[in-house]
Amino acid sequence: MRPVPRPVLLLVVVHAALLACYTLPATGVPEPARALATAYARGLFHQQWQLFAPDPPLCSCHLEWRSSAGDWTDPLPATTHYLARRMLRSAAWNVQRELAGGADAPSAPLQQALHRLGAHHVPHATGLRLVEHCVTDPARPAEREPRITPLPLP
Amino acid sequence: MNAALRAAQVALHAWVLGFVLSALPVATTLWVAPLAPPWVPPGPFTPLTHALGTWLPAASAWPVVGMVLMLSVLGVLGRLRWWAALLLWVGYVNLMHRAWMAGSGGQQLMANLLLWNVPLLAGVQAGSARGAWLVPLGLWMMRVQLLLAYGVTAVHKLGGTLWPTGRALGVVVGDEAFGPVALLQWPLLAQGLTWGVLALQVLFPLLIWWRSARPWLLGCGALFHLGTALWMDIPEMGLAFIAAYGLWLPEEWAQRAWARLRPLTSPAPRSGRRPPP
Repeated sequence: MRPVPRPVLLLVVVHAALLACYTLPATGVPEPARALATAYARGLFHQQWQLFAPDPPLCSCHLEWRSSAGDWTDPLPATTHYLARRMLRSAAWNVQRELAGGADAPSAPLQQALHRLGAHHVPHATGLRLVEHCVTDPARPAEREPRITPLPLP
Repeated sequence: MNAALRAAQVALHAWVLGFVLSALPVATTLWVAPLAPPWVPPGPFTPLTHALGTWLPAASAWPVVGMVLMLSVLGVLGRLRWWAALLLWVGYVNLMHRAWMAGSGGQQLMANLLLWNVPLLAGVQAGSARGAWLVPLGLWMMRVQLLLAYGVTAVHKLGGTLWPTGRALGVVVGDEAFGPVALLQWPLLAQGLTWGVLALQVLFPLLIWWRSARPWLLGCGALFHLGTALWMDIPEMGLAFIAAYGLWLPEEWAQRAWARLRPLTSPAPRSGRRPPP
């Protein structure tokens, strides 16, 4: 490897340090450094590396809409494209996260996303719910308990 | 441009090309009439990075997709100018932000690499004076970005309870959305693989500096990312990391690879034609 010019090395080190302050767990980063890093990174260098971290969610989840015929439909199994599946899953995870955080109902932007997803996958839906399957003992991850949370239809 | 940089350029642009082509069947719900509501964070750069869906009409998504595809082809062919690389980054991040609900760490990784590719190409094309600092600036920012991704995720996982105890993969594969569910039949294997993934992510940023360790690291990393592409439903994320491995290829490996590819890419001169002097 060729030697890196010192000013370049300095820039790379400062950039990496700011990104580390932005992406590392908030508990380990002093608040002023976090604020500076957020101001620096959010616009151009936003990233997060928390997939299945610090722990994978103990409850799997998906959304179900009630069709006009009255039966509950999970659009995920019939969705063949990986990015379309990702949107459904992302909406379900966000609902799960907000409810776990103490919210009574999904936030307004999430309601908007749920409305669009519902209209696309289950037109004229009459109901919406979050279906979870929760691990009760991480040593036996195959054993899961179902949990159903009714949601307001956006 | 040396052989290793050329290989990295091909890998990065081939990823962009493959990703956007793979998204075309759902382009309407991603970009034109998106299912994701608009999300615009505060900041001075948002008119540039979130133009699509704010001041650029939704119908502009198609020209943006066309531009990104065309520029990524030029990148694969090694004919991308630095200002075109900047346009490619702007187009790509606009598409990524518009479809934020379908986003992934792999897409974010690639957005950062494409941004630092601009000074790298500017340096290569400027020649010796400015290139002496622009090329290492772009290259090292990209290299460090990859290491940061591994290091940060490792720190997050070490702060949990299921990764250090070896139970995380069992919980993940037991989720109906992921797999392979058969792994639940072998809890010891699941435990070993959990620790293996954690070890890879902890050790990657440390051992990559040793040349002798690099083939093993890149090989194990590629296997891990292919596994996530196959079973975790994040194919573009796994392939983005593998594409970024090109940034850490030693020069002689890249030269050997190009030498093997040369007979396939440059046809032998036809008989009866006078060779150039």
